[in-house]
Amino acid sequence: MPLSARNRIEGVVKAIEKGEVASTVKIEVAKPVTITAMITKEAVEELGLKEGDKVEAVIKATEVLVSKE
Amino acid sequence: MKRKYESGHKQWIEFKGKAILGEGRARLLAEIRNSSSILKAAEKLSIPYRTAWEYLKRIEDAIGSPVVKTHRGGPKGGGGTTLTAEGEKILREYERYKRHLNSVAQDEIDWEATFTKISARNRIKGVVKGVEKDEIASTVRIEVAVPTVITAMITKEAAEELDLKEGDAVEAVIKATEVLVSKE
Repeated sequence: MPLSARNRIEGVVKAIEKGEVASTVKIEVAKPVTITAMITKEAVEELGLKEGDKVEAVIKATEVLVSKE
Repeated sequence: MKRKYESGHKQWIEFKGKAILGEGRARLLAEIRNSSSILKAAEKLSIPYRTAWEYLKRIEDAIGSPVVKTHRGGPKGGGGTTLTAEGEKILREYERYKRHLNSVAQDEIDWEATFTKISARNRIKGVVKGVEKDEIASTVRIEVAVPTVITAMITKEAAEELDLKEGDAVEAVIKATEVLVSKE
């Protein structure tokens, strides 16, 4: 799906923790780097997400903070 | 010895530059609102009845208006002390301001912006590949360990404050709620 977001990182779903409303999805983008996504339980179900799925973590550039020592 | 410091804040309401209501007096007003009794409110706060009265008098003297009114009970009771409209107003303003400050203090993005406390789950180490400064916004390209580049759009001010330049070792910080998941 074409998206305007600048950041699209491919990865594999490592773990899904389903909560009442929100779910935490851990996406391994390259060992050992994992990106955590907190999305609604509904979204997890709609995508049929499960461990091992190939996904993309999509992040708007305006949502990335830069930290420097 | 390693010291651990905590940050905190207090709030108060002022009238004509003079502090009239802080946490202690606000709790007193709130208890009077709940119990309709200065005595019960004083007991709840474990302060002498006299002190409670003094607190109220100081507020009233400062603003020149009563903050409580006393109702005489009939033979079946019904007496008590309630807040006046002015008392309600001051207390509501204090509570509103306290809620606001608490929400700011707990705002993760705000903390992240000041770089004192970071709670974001995603911190990805990388190297700045390029900085494009615009009038207001700056685009920073960060090459992360993963063979991919993360783009951050931050204010020009922030880019200058961090003195960002190519080759800098940085971290891309992203709140987990801001990550979308896409699946083919």
